[in-house]
Amino acid sequence: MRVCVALVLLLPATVFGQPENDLPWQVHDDSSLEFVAVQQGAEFTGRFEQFEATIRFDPAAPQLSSLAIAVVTDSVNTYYDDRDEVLRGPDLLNVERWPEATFSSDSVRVDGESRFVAAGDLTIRDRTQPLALPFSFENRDGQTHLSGEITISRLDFGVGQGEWSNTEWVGADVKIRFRLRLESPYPAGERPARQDGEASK
Amino acid sequence: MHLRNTETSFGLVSQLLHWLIAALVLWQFVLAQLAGNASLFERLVLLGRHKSVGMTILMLAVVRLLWKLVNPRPVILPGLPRYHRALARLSHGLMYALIFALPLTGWLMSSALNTPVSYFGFFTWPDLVEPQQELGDLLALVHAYLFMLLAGTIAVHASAALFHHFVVKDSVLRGMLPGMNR
Ligand code: HEM
Ligand code: HEM
Repeated sequence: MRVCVALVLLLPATVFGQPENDLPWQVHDDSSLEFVAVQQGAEFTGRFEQFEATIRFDPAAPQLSSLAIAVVTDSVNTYYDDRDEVLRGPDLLNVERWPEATFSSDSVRVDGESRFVAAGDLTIRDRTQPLALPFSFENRDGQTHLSGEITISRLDFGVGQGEWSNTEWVGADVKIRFRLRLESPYPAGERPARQDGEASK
Repeated sequence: MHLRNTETSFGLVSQLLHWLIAALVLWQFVLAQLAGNASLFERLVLLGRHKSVGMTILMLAVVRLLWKLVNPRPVILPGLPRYHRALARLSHGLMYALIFALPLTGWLMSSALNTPVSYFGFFTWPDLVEPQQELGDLLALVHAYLFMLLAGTIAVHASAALFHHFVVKDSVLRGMLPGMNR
């Protein structure tokens, strides 16, 4: 009888992917989204201060994941106001027209010990490109971290119009580094039924 | 022609370093001026060059100072009035200090503004301080004022040299021309 209930509970998850009541992880404030770009031949690091990550992910059932990250482009911070203004401007991020950059994926596969790859779409400005985003999911010192980095070409997304498409003085490659500290939305010890069912499969 | 200085004249190395640094300082000024009136992108390009050339001056300044230390110091023309010679010595000392101070404030400013200094794209100089915009803005002012001080000193210095050459008609300028003795 208990097996039956579990099966019934499992059914919607397998058929529809995500059950409505599957709560996303809570993303802690000390999470960060940084990037490393090249200017005048030298690397500098900047960050986005505001972004929202909606992460449904269980390392034991990665096939049921969905990741959605929305970055507030206006929150770009390179610790230098003049440069931030240029980045917000029409030739680079154009934050007025495109206030958000997004990544979303419904397809995560295992890629080794604690390592996964999320296949999804990255949208910056009005350009969308498929992206296979590698990340690690680890429990360390009682904390859960989802982190990774990937290098993209800014010109694939039109970040650099006109003279800013020059790659000698503003490098084409931009490394994106994220470190999310996650907290379970469920009270300690309580896990949703479907995850237990998947895990023991 | 001699490479090293003697008690009475500059050697070729001192002479070449003098004019090479003089030319690069002038070029620095030109690049900075052009950057002031350029589009934001051109400003990035011009200041990128300015930073690399500035670091070249810093390295040449180190070489020049070391070379000066291991060479005899040619006496400033003995026939001159004492205050003239004191003035010459003062302006030389000031210019030596400033060819260090300008690149160093520039480098510090760039570090503080989180715009690290590449050397013509070959390598990147380490940052001297953590990013902190207020410090960077302050250093940009210091850098600009130090340049005014340098420009003023150079103006006096160069006028004095030309005055010696064309009016007094002595050998001060010739003494600094590569391969010549005074
Ligand atoms: C002897 C060497 C140098 C000279 C004579 C020099 C001279 C100047 C001058 C005249 C300006 C324009 C100041 C103004 O009117 O606002 C300037 C600006 C600047 N310099 Fe230098 N500089 C030197 C070395 C350097 C170095 C080594 C760096 C960096 C590594 C540097 C970075 C800058 C920057 C970033 C600006 C723009 C400041 C701003 O944003 O207002 N400079 N420099
Ligand atoms: C057109 C411009 C210039 C002229 C005509 C000129 C000429 C001279 C002459 C004739 C001397 C030799 C003085 C002596 O016999 O004691 C001298 C020395 C010197 N000059 Fe210049 N100069 C010029 C530009 C500069 C610039 C731009 C700098 C620095 C950035 C500079 C820095 C010095 C220094 C430091 C010395 C002393 C060298 C030593 O005693 O080791 N000069 N200059």
